[in-house]
Amino acid sequence: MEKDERIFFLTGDTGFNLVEPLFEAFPKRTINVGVAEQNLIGISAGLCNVGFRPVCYAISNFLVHRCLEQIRNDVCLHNYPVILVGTSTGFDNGALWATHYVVDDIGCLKPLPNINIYSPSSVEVIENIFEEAINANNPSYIRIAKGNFSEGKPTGAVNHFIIENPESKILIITHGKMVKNSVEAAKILPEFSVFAMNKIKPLEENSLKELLEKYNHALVVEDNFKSGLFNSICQFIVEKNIKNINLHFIGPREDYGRYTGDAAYLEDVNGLNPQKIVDRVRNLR
Amino acid sequence: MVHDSGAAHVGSCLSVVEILNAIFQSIDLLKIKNRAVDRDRVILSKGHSVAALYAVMYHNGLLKKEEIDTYFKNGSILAGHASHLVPFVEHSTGALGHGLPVALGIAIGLRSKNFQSRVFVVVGDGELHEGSNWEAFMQAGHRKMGNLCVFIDQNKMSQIGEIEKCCDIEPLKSKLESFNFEVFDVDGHNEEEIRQKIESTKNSVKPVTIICHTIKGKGVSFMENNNLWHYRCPQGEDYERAMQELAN
Repeated sequence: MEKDERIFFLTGDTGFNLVEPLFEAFPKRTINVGVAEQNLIGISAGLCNVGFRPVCYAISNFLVHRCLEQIRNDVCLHNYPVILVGTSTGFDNGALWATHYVVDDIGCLKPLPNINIYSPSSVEVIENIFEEAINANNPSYIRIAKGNFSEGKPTGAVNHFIIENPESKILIITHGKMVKNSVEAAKILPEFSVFAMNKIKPLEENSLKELLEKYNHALVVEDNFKSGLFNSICQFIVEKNIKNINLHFIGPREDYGRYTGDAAYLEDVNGLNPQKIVDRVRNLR
Repeated sequence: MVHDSGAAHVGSCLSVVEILNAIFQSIDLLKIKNRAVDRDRVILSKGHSVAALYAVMYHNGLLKKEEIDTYFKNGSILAGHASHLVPFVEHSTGALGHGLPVALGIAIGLRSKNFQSRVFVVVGDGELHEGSNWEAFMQAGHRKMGNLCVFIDQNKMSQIGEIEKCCDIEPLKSKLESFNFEVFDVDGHNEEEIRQKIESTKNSVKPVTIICHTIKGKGVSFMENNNLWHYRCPQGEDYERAMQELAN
């Protein structure tokens, strides 16, 4: 915000013990709108009219679902460069149950024209993603999970291999927090490649085509219903008439579930923990 | 326009047209034409009254005859709801309850950049049923957004009937005062009175609401307060009679 005077930070009363320094440093470019997400998005659209680049911060459920019509009409229709930063994604808020965990946000936003969707997997790639989003002339949604997974080095591209195993015919395509789970799975069974597809929309078609042509099995691992990345890849395979690839999915089935549990528990229930990923890969061999 | 194109919402247009003209007559149109960043902004939140907006823009030199003649016709950008694709329309509206939060965002942005310009937003009284308006009223009052001026086109009717029978919004004035707004009542068909109120509130410390008392279908006896004309397009004898009454 210091370097770029176009940035205006807004929160929907989220970010205790995190956002306060921003409010102190930039009182004219920060606002807490309170628990009012429709207003959060409407105000952001208005700020774009005056030339700002608003960054809206809230828990993903409320940032996406509560104000979907505002995102559609006031942001996407106008192609305003609003950056939606949603937190506590996937099963991060699992113990708070279905109103607070979010496994249907990607599918919800994906059909909207103009919006880019990111799901950063590491503390390094998040910088690349923000750089890209801040300089874009269209809206972005950045889905941020809890955790501080590090790749140990700067990442060049937003989408990239975390593990490239030239011997393997099995590829995991994943994003966000599930990259960490997949990497941990590879420590147990080092027999597959892991590609972090942190930019979910628009699909990077060239690199995806190359990837799918190199492997026999592609396993999409995501803490989102099939309406997320998996569904985009299905469509891509059909439209591009890509043969000889077997596509698989690990993720929650399309249901909000009955039981509470922390992230680790619900990831286990939904086949997303490292051991369950390994079990699934073994079945593909 | 509405007759030629076969469009709906003529009753709503006749309710709001003087409000819109009074606003456009009160602002610096040159800044609008130059897209100056410190221009005043006008947003028609009740976007279904767009024929009135385009007519007013035409009479204030912001739309050309050949453009307005395409209203509601196939292939035109002048659709049946307000579109930002039309030059000088600040924001696309249609779904209700969107204009006020956006107007508030513009007001916050203008203040942040130390501009003195104002933001005028026109909402319908039926539209006030949308909760998003109240999020914006609350925040605008809290922040004392004196550069925000909200016009309420209070014709007391929504789509299928009288508002008071569906979900009454009264007492509107005291409600908005309790949200920390300066609230005024005017005859919504008296342009001079509206212009005076725009002028007299220009240095307001608090956000302003001007409740414009209007009649849906104003000026055409058989349309007034008759919700049939929320949808129906005047044709044949109805059209001739309406035009005669409006001319008188």
